[in-house]
Amino acid sequence: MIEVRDLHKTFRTTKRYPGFAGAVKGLFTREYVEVKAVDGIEFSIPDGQIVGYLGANGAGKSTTIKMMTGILTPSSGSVLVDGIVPYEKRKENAAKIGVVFGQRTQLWWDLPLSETFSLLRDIYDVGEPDFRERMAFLESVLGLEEFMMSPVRTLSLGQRMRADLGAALIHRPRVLYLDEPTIGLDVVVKERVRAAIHDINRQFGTTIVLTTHDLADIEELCSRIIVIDAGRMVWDGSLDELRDRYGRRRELRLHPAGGGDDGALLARLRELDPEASLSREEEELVVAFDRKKAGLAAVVAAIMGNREVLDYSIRETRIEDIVKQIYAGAVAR
Amino acid sequence: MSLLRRYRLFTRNALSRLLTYRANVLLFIFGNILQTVVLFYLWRAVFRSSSSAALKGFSFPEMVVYLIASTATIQLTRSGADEVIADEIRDGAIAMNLVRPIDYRLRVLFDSFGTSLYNFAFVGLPAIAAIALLLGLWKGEPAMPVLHIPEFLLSLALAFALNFSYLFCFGLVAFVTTNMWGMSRLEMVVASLFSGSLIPLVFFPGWLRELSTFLPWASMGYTPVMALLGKLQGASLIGALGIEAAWALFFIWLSGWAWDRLVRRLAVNGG
Amino acid sequence: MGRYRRLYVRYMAQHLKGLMSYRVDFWFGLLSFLLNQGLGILFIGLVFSSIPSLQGWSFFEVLFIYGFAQIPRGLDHIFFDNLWILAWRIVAKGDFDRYLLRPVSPLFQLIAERFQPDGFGELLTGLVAVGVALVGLHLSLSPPALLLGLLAILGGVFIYGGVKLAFASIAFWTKFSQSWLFAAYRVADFAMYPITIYGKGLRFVLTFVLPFAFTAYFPAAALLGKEGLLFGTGSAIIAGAACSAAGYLVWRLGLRAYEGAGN
Repeated sequence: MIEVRDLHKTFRTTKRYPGFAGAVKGLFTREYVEVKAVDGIEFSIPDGQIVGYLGANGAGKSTTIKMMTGILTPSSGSVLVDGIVPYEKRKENAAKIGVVFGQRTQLWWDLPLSETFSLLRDIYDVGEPDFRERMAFLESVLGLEEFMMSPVRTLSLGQRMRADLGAALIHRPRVLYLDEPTIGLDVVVKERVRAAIHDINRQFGTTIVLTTHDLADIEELCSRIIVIDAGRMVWDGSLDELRDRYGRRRELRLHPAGGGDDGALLARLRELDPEASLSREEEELVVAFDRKKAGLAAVVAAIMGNREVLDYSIRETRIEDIVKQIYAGAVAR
Repeated sequence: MSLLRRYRLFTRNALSRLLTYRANVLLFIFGNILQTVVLFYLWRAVFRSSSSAALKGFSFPEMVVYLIASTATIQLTRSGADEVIADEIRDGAIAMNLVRPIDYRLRVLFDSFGTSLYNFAFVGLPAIAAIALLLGLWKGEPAMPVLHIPEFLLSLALAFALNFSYLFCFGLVAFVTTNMWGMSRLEMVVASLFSGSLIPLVFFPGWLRELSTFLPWASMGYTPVMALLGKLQGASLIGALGIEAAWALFFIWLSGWAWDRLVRRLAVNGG
Repeated sequence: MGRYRRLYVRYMAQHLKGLMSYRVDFWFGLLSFLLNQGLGILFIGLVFSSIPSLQGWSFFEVLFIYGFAQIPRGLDHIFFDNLWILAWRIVAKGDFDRYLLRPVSPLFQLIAERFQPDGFGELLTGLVAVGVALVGLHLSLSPPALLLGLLAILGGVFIYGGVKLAFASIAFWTKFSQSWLFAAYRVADFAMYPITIYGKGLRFVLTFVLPFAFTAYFPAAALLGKEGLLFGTGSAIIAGAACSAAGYLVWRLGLRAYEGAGN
């Protein structure tokens, strides 16, 4: 479905000089800076797969997505989406894709939501019976009836996101690009959106490319994850594999009742995991260990045996931490 | 940081902000010059079509100076203080500014200085240069009429004070109405007519001419320019300056009063 | 093609529906635009109180040209206003991408999406001024003349549109290009008066560089009998076509640059 081969993109921007004197200088001279946003990315996404596309901000995610959706031309390399080169046949490609931006809407701001769908029907040339059938499906899956008649600018973020999702699907696209679709939403709505995405993928077989910072999105939806950092691919595999390889570090934060023998505790922990660590952060004691090597129960027992604990919290490795680790140590598959 | 330095920083920042895009600046200047150039050609045609060398007491060179000085005066005095305020009201930044240990009015005043300077440097000066060039090309009488600078500067200072406090009040109206855009445009139209920037007020029919000299807008634009050209002398000069000062004092008082009322109301309602 | 027509009708229907619910602000804006134009007419009137004619042009003739100039300007303002927004905000805020993600011409979407009734101020003033001038001149236009006049106005609309498109497209390179548009429109201001009062250089610019002279002077002078009718109106149509073509070219170049550089 989607073939990306040796993709590169370099940007050239003007250098900005700081301060007031700089602003005046900027009136008279010019210097350029080159930035390599995408540096040799390659992957294939088969039909119907849901792929999580991860990376820190500025890593090159949006640049890649822009090239895949056809709104940016690569410096070199190629992209094929369902046999079409998106930046060459933009309109043809556009008819087959749906895009949802978390931060920006594709809906018409001042009009009632129903009008957006009417306009989209004509833009995408959707036949009347198909339109009605899909509207019914989307309305039920996304719960759109309640605000179908409201102007888009009056919708809450959650409602708008669901509406954007519906708008991106009304023409039955082959590929759906979701850019941070659950950002800013509360937990209930997030669940609903995820369930909707899952349903749609099952019902229509839509290939989905999802960029997100939310680990739960990944866990619930993605069978495959691609991680990108500084324009390069540093991981391409499933979430389990990723977790297994890099997400093994667990952090336990404790509020101890008083002092205690840190040395003895550390020694005990090191029996469980030779690379366990113990540190103090203000009032808290932070224990970090490899969960494959030391079970949580054993670690907790070790701690309880050492001192009294008032409160604690467990933190799993975050995606960003994994990404950092990956880039620091590992090699892309 | 000393008080003066702090305020100077604001002026500099206003200028710095405006200098960021160079092509925009140049084109904006160019566009503004063009506006005056249209009028220049129009008046040239008018004077050529007239049998006498002077129209309503203006010779052609005087008319050209009038045009330039009118534009320059507007640039120097109309600082957009009302926009600054209205914008800040709209996005709530005004609350933040009330908390800062700087007198709000003074801050806006120095901001206005920055804008005025920018306007003058990039709009006024080039306009003057361009028109002077054009005037030099006009065959006929020696170009420059006598300019009365001291009277002009005095009147200009009063006009700035008047304009600033007037716009300040106008900006505060944004607290009452939700949209300023329509009102603001209306005000601009009225102001451009009665400040003489469209056409010298002497061209108005009798009763309107009399009335307009007493309106605040005449003091903002017309009086300084007429003073510059020496059309106001002795008694008439003192009279005109007096009206200017009166309006300035009125609006300064009004702006202070409105501001205090407003701050008190905000303190009560919590913004 | 039929799809575009259907789409445009749908967009317009939306705009007209919205027109019904306009608030006080709209009326204020309209009033101020009307007044602004009115000032121009007032200026002409006041000036003519001191002189018999303006370098050979009578008051009503000047009024006719001035009014005629407002009509294509107003129509351009009503239908092509989104191009201003492109120059000012759309590219800068990154809102342009969504036009590219749809299987319909982005230019079409951009233009169809906005309907700016403020332009009625200019349109109305123009029509009234032209009407009054025709009465004052005791001139009635024959049907063919009227038709040619309307065609010339159409040409004028596309002169404005083409120039606007060209300069607005600069935003694809520079993010903001409203100053370019501003400058171009200040040049258009010259076209509101008979161009015979300008120097040779200026007349050249208004005829061959930014052909705003064809939005008012040539067709109006033709209708007043001072220039050939066919020339006066035909030239406006040609100029309109030329400007549109040039504008579209700049647009396409800009689009290509935008797709190369992103935002």
